Amino acid sequence: MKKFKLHKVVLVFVSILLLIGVVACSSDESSGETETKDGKVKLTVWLWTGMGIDDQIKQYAEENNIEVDIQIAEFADVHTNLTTALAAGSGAPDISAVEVKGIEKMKANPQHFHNLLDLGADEISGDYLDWKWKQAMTPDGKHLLGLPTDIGPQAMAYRVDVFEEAGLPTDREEVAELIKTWDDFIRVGEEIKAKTGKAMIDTPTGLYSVIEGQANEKYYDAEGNIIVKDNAQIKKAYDYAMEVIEKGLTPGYEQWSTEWSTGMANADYATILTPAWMQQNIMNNAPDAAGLWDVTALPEGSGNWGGSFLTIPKESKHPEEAYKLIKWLLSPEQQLVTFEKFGNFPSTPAIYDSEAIQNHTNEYFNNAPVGQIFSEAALQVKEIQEGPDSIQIETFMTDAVTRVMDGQAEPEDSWNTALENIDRQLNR
Amino acid sequence: MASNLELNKGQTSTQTPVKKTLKQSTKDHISGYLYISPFFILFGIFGVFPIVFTAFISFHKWDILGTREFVGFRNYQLLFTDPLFWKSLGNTFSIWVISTIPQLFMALIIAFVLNQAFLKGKQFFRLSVFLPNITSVVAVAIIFDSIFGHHYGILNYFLSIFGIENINWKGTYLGTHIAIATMVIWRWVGYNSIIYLSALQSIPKDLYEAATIDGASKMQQFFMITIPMIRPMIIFTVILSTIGGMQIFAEAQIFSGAGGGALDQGLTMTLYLYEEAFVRNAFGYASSIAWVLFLIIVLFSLFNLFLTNRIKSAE
Repeated sequence: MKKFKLHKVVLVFVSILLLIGVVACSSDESSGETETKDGKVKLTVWLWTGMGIDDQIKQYAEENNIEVDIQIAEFADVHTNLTTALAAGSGAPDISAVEVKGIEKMKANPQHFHNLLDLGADEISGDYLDWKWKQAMTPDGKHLLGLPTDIGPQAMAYRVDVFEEAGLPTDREEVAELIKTWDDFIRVGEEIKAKTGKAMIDTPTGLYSVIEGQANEKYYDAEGNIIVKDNAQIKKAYDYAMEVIEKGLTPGYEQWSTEWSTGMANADYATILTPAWMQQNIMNNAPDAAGLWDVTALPEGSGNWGGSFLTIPKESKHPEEAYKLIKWLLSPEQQLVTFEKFGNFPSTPAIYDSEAIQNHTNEYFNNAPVGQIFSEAALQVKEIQEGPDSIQIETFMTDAVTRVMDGQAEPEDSWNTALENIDRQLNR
Repeated sequence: MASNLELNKGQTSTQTPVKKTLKQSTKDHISGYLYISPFFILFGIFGVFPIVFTAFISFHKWDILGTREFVGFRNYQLLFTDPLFWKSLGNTFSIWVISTIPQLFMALIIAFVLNQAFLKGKQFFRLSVFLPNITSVVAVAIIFDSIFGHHYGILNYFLSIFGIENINWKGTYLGTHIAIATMVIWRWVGYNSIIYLSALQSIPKDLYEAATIDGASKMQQFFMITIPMIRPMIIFTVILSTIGGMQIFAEAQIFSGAGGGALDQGLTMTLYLYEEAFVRNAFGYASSIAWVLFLIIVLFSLFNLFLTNRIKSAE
């Protein structure tokens, strides 16, 4: 009997220990705590790796007597987690970064975000590039989901050594004069191929993605209808991509694959149409090619790839405080600080004339004045109406280009398949 | 122990006429259910509820952030006329055939070799054969991605030594299927061979001895003794690889990209489901894909069971 009683006591003791362990180990997640014990406002911020704005956020928190809890996750995870939290109705942070690809989906359901116009955002709309500001605005112009962080204006990076070998001018002003239209681009590509055997561009999809963005409309019109079939600029982009494939001017590397990086180092292609942030990637992928790359302006206008926003989900209990934080963080002065520290290209044109940007050069790119080049590109980006399925449509169109690249379809058929896919897959 | 105590308590309390006590067998039943309840509660929340909810959602149109719209059987109708779904079905089966059938044969042969008496260092081989199974799926996929690269891939380099031109693995149906199947074979052949090995070791040696005395060749012994004796294990591995192979996702997603590739050559059914749900936000449609996938797996498993049952039994 006694032996049994001891057994029972031990059992009860162990189960109590386990219970305490479970309770103690559950951290108090941000969703419950919005104020610390001494009544300070506590804001949760969701960012992804590499955004570079954490230090400034912490600085603001110190100066303004609030607490911030910065939670950093992988880029894709931030968007998935945000969607889940919004759908579940709890767990969303006070401030969340959302990239331009994600903001389109969020705009279809603006009720999940605080309308920044209500918090006073129209006062500062003039500080930002028009086309960037519109990206976070619902089509009717009534609901602003986020304030712009950085942008990705595009320019053309080219291999000086390949141009030299082909007997072409290598100075960036002269190259810009040489390649003023996409026809020039193709002609130069043929010359380079004839004289050096190298390709002109890394992948035809890169060419397509830039040309399609150079007119006033892309996939959607002002009323939100999909206009891919009738949009001449898209056909033009597609046709140039086809020409580049037919004339053998591209090896068709998949961007971001290991082969693409190797190609960068080996000069397998003479140009890349690169956004401001890709400079880092080129520098990391091909460190030995320093000084062999240069940068000049794109023909026929500019383009934008990427860029993000800071949004305030509706679940936040401190929208005013959150708004004050992001307003400060994304003001022209602070964006200049971010640029100087990390190179994120600012979305506030007021500082483009500042010394820091005008004099910013990149040694790797032959000391090109990249600050100047990219700021000029930024000012030329066209304001384009996007829609909730823009990303999907983009995938269908670039798939059409890739199919022809892989020799799996004829240009006409591939184009028709893409249009069919758009009709069928987007009506669910 | 506990029941004795309870019995005593029960007996004392029946002496007071007012108190009603439960029968001992009832108490046993209740405590039995309580003991297994933690598992079933968790299973109910995380297993049964999602399955039922998915069926419920498959009759709606929902983009997770907006409102649900009841559409009846529309999702299923769309599914049966959707060329992408049939393509994903074809891809999944093609990858399954290329990966599972050679894999199980290889596993059997490897197990047979590992079981031989003359092999030195058995433990080491058994361990190394199983090692691929515990590696990270994503890491493996990234490496195989490089191996099967078009311009700089190691495989194309080896083939070029024999004079074969660079194959665009990612750009063709067969190339992609072979690449994904290779990853699956690499991962699971060790697992299956260890299972077969344990089955082989349970076959009594005197059967082989008797057969050798009777003059049976090694091949005859293999087909007449070994295979029938490990038949239950064969059935087990075939069913398991059917269920697993029809749900291939990570390798396909990393190799072909999120959309399954420009030709949808790497689009398996699970990848299609993922795309519809998390890229196109069509959760209702994705739920219907999930349920149809379930039915297909059940039917295919039954079919495979029928086939493997025809192996002569040991009885």
